[in-house]
Amino acid sequence: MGEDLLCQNGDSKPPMDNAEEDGGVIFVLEKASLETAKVGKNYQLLNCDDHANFLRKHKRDPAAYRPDILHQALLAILDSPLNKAGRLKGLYVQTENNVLIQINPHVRIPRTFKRFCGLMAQLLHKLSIRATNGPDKLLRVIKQPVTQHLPVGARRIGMSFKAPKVVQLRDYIAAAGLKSTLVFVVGAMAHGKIEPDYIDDLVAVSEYPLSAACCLGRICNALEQQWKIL
Amino acid sequence: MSKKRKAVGLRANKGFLKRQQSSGQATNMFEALWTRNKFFVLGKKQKGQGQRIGFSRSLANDKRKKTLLQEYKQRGKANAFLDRRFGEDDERLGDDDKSIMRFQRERQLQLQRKSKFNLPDEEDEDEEVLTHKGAALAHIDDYVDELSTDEDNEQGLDGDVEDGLKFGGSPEGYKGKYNVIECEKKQRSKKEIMEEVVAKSKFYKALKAKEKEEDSHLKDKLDSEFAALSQSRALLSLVRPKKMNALKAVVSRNALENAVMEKYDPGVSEQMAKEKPDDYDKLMKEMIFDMRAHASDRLKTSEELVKEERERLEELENARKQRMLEDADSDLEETQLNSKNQGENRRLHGIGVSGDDLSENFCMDGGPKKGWVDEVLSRTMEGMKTETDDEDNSDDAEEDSLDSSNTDAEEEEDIEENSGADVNSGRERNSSPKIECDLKQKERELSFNVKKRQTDLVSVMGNQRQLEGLPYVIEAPQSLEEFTKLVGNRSLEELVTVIRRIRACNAISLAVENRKKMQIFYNVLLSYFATVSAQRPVSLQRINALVRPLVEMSSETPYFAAACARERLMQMHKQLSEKLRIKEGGTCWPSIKTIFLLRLWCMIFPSSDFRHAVMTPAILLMGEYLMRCHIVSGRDIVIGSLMCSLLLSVMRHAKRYCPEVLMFLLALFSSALPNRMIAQHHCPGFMLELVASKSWLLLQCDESVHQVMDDLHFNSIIIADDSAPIFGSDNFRLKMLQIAVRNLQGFLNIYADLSCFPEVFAPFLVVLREVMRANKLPDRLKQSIFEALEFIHAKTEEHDRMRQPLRIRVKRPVPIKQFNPKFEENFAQGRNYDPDRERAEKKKLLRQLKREAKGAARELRKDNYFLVEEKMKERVEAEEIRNENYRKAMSFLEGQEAAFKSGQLGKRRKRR
Repeated sequence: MGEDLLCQNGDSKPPMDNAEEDGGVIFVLEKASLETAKVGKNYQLLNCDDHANFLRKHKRDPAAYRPDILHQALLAILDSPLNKAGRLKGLYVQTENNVLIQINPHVRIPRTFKRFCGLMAQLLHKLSIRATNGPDKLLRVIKQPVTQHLPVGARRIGMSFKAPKVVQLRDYIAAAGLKSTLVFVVGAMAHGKIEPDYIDDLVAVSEYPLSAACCLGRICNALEQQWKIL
Repeated sequence: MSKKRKAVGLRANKGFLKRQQSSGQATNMFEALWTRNKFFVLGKKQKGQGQRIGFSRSLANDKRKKTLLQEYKQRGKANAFLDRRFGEDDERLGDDDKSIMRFQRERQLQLQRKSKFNLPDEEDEDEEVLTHKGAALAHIDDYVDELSTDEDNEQGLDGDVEDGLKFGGSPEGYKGKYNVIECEKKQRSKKEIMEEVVAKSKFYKALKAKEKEEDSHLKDKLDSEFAALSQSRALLSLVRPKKMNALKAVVSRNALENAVMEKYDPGVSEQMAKEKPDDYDKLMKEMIFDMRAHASDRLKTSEELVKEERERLEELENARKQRMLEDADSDLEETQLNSKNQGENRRLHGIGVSGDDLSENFCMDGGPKKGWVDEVLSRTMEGMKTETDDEDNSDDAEEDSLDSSNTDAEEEEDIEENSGADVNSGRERNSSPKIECDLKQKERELSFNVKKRQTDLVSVMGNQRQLEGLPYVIEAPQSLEEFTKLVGNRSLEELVTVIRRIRACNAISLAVENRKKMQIFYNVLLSYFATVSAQRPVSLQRINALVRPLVEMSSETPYFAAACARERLMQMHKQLSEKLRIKEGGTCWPSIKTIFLLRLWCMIFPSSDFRHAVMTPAILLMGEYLMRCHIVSGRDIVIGSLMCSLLLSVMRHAKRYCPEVLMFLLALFSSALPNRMIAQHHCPGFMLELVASKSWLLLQCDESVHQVMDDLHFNSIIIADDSAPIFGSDNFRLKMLQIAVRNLQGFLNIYADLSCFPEVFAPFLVVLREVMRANKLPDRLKQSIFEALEFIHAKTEEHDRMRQPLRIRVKRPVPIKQFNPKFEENFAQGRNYDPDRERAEKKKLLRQLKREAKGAARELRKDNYFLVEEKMKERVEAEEIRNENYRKAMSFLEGQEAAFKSGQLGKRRKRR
């Protein structure tokens, strides 16, 4: 059912080995800081290292511009065995500027940050990125809200250190069942907490504040254990 | 964010409104409408904050009114009136402005270049006045100034003062200068000046003395340094020997003079030095004219070397023949001979001497290669070779001593030659007494050298005599008989020399037919090798001596060597099959000759080649010997062991699995068991039948007397009869066991990495344990067997650990396919990233064309709308006028009609 919905939205087909009986997972990365600006002649993705002075000149807080968090988070998700096994059904990024990006699980994100910045800047200008060796659109800017793209009935779980409930993720996932599709909403920002209105449950997976990549790693590990992916 | 944007927009709007109001036009509310930026991009310049569509539309309308409308109005006209008066084209100007503009224009015309030459009107003459110091010159009275300067000159002021008073000079500066000079002159009297002069001259004198002293110090230092330098090797190597002496003389004299000078008054020595021409300078000038170093001769090619060798030998042969006739020998000839022989000795070390070769004295390997036979035998019978080895060593030592003495002599001769040449050149140049004294010294040295060489010669002569009987030029013998006749009774050394001379005289590179000759000679030499190895007792030295030329010659004619070897291998195989078929009497095992030949081929041909014309059949043949020959005596065991070690030496490089050897070794070990049934499960039956038909190696005495193992003698075993007592001794058995264990260890090391190691060597574990149990072995042997067992154990375990269990159809999960996103490194908005430039260009042009076409169409459309509107207006206007006229006419007519009807025709007209 969830897959049908995804297909209706015109995605490239997510991997569906035996999707009927197996569950899947969808990630939503909230509050990612992806913003382009005209620095000099070109449009560049703003980051705190390269554009600190530029940001200060325009009276912005450099600490808020951290696209590297998103980069790490995407690498953590897309390089996980979970994705390799085809269990990742969808990946969405919601930016601070309210741009919603859909990322195909088949994409191979550039390994270097510089190239990642180039990719994202181009995406924000052209609104979609194609594959070099395939017909699909790997990255595309889509219409809000994200709930429109999520499968109906999927459990939406928000991750926050400030959540009152600290859970052992393995048990938590096991409780959800093997066949269900889960939606995890994780923040990809430097400070603050996610405030989405569409989540069913807000939980913390650790008693310590975790980085986005670490948190996603935990989720992936737990799911891999659940689905016995080696 | 959006609030801010709105605020900006509003501000701009206000500005626009103000402008509108100020220009006094009626505000069009549509013009006040703005488009809004949808996205805010940091760093992007906000140009005009969007567009005001209404405003630009009205602008365009205005423009059309000026252009299109004008054209439209002129459309039916043949000519037009152009008003070129100033300001007439601008409607905004008032009358005052117009007149001001005209006035300006007139003034500009006056200022033009043309007007300069016009005679000026008196009214507008400019007041240009020449001034000096701000005052007009007209106001200054000339005469007053002149008078005052005259007076000053009379008072007799010097140039400085005059400068000060000149035009523009300042009176203050002049005053100050004058005062200072006056003061200085007054302060210094004559006496003071003289004192200063004296002090100065004294100072200069002291300075000169100091400089001189420093110079002399520097000179001394240089002298001492030069002396040190002349003693060091660096200068010696650069200066020729004759000059060297002069240099030394100079240095020593300098030292002497210095000593003398210290005694006498320094002034006297200085004089002396001036009188004599400086030795050092003289020497330096001579050295300038010395010959510079020449390039040495190029390295000779191998062919030239061979040719030279041949020529040298021919010369020597001629000399020998002459001596035989004349029987008169002199020292001179002796020395000549000696010097010639040096070449031969030099070649003892190897034919090819490279350019990088160190001097003759520098020899890393002592003489020729160590006997390979010894190497093999050391594996088989340790003690046997002690004698031969000693002899070898002594030989080596002899050769070495010979070498060194010869090279010494050579070096001295070199020096002598050099000095001789120098003497000659020196005599030609000048005949100063110094040179002559040098000459004498040289002569003394020379005589000393000669004496020394003679003493050397005595030692060399001993060797020389032996080789005296040999001819120098020897044609290659074409049959074995010829060769045996030539070398039959010769000593080992002579044999080597003969072969060397034959090879030198008939070198392949000398003549075409030599190849054939040498090939035949190779065959002869190989046969001779076989003959020698078939002799009893075997002369290992001779065999060793033959190996080197054989190896070298095989590399010269590789194809022929391989053909020879194959031929012989085929013969051997035929013999073996023959013997196996007959099966009666005698053993099938190869003779010692065959083994020597096999070993020789192992050395000549590469053993590690996967497939080789000689080595592959040779290895197969060896394996066949091991697998098919029946052991009937102790000697067969020896030969089998020899074969094993031979194969080991081959496999060490080839690293190939050779099951025959392992089977043979296993069977050999089982022959040390009382009952061969014990080994039945581990060793194939036919091997047991062949090898362990009797308990060959089972120790007879059940005592521990065997703690000491005597070494076996190779020759004695070869000669010994099948039933000789030596084969029945426990010592022999122990020795054989030891050799077998050593061979096994060698193979263990080679096959340690084989994946089938546990399976291959597992039988050895059982059999060797049984061997240890059945025999009372000496501790050393036990130890080595233990080591082998341990090794097998350890390796087996290791291999077992590494092995993976078999699995049915291991299917790796296939990961999802990944795609690379297509993006550019430095993406710039609007740039075309098509790699095909032409296509991109074309696309761009097409896009431009389309845009332009659309723009043009839009313009035309708007023009049409405008025109239609204008026409409509015109039409409406015309309509109105027409209507008006119509109405007027109608009303007139109606009035007339009414008047006519009423009958008051003139009434109204009157009223008007």
